[in-house]
Amino acid sequence: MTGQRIEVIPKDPNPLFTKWLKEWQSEAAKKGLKSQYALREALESLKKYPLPLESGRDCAILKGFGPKLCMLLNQKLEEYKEGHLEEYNKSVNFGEQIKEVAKKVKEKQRKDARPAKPKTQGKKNIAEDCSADEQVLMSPGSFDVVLLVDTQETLGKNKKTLDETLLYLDSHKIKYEVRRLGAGDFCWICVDSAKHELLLPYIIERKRMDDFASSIRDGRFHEQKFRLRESKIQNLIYLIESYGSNQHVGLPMTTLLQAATNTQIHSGFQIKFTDSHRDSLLYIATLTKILIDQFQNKVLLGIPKEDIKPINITDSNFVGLMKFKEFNEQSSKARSFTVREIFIKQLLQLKSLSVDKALAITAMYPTPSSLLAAYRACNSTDEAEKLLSNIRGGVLKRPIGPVISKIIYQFYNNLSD
Amino acid sequence: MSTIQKSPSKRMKTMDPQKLELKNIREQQRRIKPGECLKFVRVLIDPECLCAGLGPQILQKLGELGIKYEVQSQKIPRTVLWERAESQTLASSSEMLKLSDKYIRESQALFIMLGEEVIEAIKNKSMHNQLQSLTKAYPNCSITLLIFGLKKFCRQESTNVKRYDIEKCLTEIQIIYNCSHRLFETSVELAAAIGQFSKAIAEIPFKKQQADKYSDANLFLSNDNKDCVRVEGTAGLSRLWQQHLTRLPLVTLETAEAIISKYPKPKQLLEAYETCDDGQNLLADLKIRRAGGPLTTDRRIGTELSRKIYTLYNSLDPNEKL
Repeated sequence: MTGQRIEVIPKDPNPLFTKWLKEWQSEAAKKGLKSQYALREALESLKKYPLPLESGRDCAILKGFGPKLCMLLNQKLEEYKEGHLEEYNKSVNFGEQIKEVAKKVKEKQRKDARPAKPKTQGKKNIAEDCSADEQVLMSPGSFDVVLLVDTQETLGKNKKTLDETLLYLDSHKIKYEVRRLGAGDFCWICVDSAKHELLLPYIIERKRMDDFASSIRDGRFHEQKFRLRESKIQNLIYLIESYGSNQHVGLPMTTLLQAATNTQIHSGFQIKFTDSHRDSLLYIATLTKILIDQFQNKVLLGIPKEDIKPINITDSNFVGLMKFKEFNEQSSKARSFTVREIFIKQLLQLKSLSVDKALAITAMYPTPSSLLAAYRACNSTDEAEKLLSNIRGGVLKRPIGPVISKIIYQFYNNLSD
Repeated sequence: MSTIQKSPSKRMKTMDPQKLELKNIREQQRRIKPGECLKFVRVLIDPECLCAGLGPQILQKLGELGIKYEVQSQKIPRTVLWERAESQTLASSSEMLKLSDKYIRESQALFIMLGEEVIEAIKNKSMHNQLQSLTKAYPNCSITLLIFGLKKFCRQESTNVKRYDIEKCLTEIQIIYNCSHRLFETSVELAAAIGQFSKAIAEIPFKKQQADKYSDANLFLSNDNKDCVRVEGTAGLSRLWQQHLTRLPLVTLETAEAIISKYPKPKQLLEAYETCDDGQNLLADLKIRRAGGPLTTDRRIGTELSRKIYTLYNSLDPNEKL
């Protein structure tokens, strides 16, 4: 049984402060004082704040709370505490409240789980298994092609981009949905009347020139490319969008153009350059129409990722496609890692330890535990310090060497510096 | 190939075979390295590529980069192709390398079109025919279209071809023939692109070797990231401990700090696991401190994360999921 995180959001975390601010504001409004506007602003920001605040002073972190207002609240709170101490203590004990909520949630889950149980018995069990890898077959005319836009594409930095994107798609009458995609920014699914979803083998990663530069600088670029390739989608499209005159993007254009060309030649992406966001949208809209044209008269069959074969779009009328769900689950960043995978990642944190060396060490000692056992089996400190030094890795079969071997020994075995 | 070292010395003949093999591999690795690898490719340029004033820029660029080229007629005019010297990737003695002067065709082709030709091809719907003859002439090649002066032509002439028609045509050939395209307005940019393609093609063997490494491990690996820790003597070991802990998904810097404040060295955590009865829950109640100020609230590490960390350090099954 795995644990579960429950998110508790209090409906009104600061009832007293809210009440007093409201009172003061209406008073000020009656008298026509200017302070009513300041109080209204304070009230607005207090409403947005999700956690209980212990004192008037703590309110200072919120917008609209100046030192004077904080002091007033503090005074009022002290007065209130004198009169209603017990009541007050009960209301501030946030921890207790959370525990209560957690208890309720658990009870509710238990109740919900009960009626579900019979399903896992007898015939129904078999029926359920079938639906898990149910045959999905779509014949021409029975499905719609829908463009999926990643939420990242729409969230965050630039709300304007989202509005522009969605408005544009609306005006071109393109069916789309905004969803969280495990990889890429745009892709297309075929949806039938039973809401089955098959993924067309095209995926777009959109990068504005400045994002492109910063992703190269911080290393995300390689990782993203790797994840996209792992998705086994046949056609990966890297859409690179100009940012103004591309003069202040963080890296010289020659570097960026070489990186784009490398992405095409080494990683097999198709590269598309566009001049502006609008230009990118024209491309995406055009591509959507072409894909509808190309696929609407085909018979589609849902097949597992490992059976996916390259499609020759012009001569096959029958194509195997991945289920969207499988794509999104497998390519998600949050996939679970194995003990060895984490161990490799840990070893790589040491500056001089190359990928080849980390792979060589974990080929010999695949878990931290097995390495530690080997240290314990050594007869002397000297032997343990050199334990890894002769392990060889990479094409050139270079040894790990005594320096790294000693650092790793010390890392796991030192009790003091 | 002039760049490959001449006759092997007598000493090498007496070297034991294992060492000799290693030496050969080392030499082969040197030849595929970025920089060195450019010497092993050559560009084949159809003479018509040098039309429309493009010639001087292209040849100058390739000269600058030190890339060999031959101007020779190709099956289809206006194409650029590449060949790789077999000796680049051959891991064998230098004697054999000297014998092998063979070039092998790479599976990339560029096709240069002028802006007005693209517009013409859209008008008379001949673009598909062009691509079909290209794919026939260069089977198994990825074709990239280099288009020169399209914007300028559209600005200057009234073409009756809409922006959407151009986009549609170019996107169609991308989808149907897997053909990417690039637009250039100056001959310098176009020549630079041929240089970029040459560089990228020269590095293919090196990049492939690197990529194979990752696909073996089935996850993305790199140790050139800025967070890697340099350790000298014992300096840096505690930061390394922090980095190790944050490799686990969901372990934030604060979580790592909470663990480190109780177990400043890995050994202390490992010993605690050995001596306690319930290792799985050892860390569960450890408090995570958040930033100071009124927002400070305590949070536990929790049973789930505690169990994961326990598994990482105590499991002997490398494939156990965390």
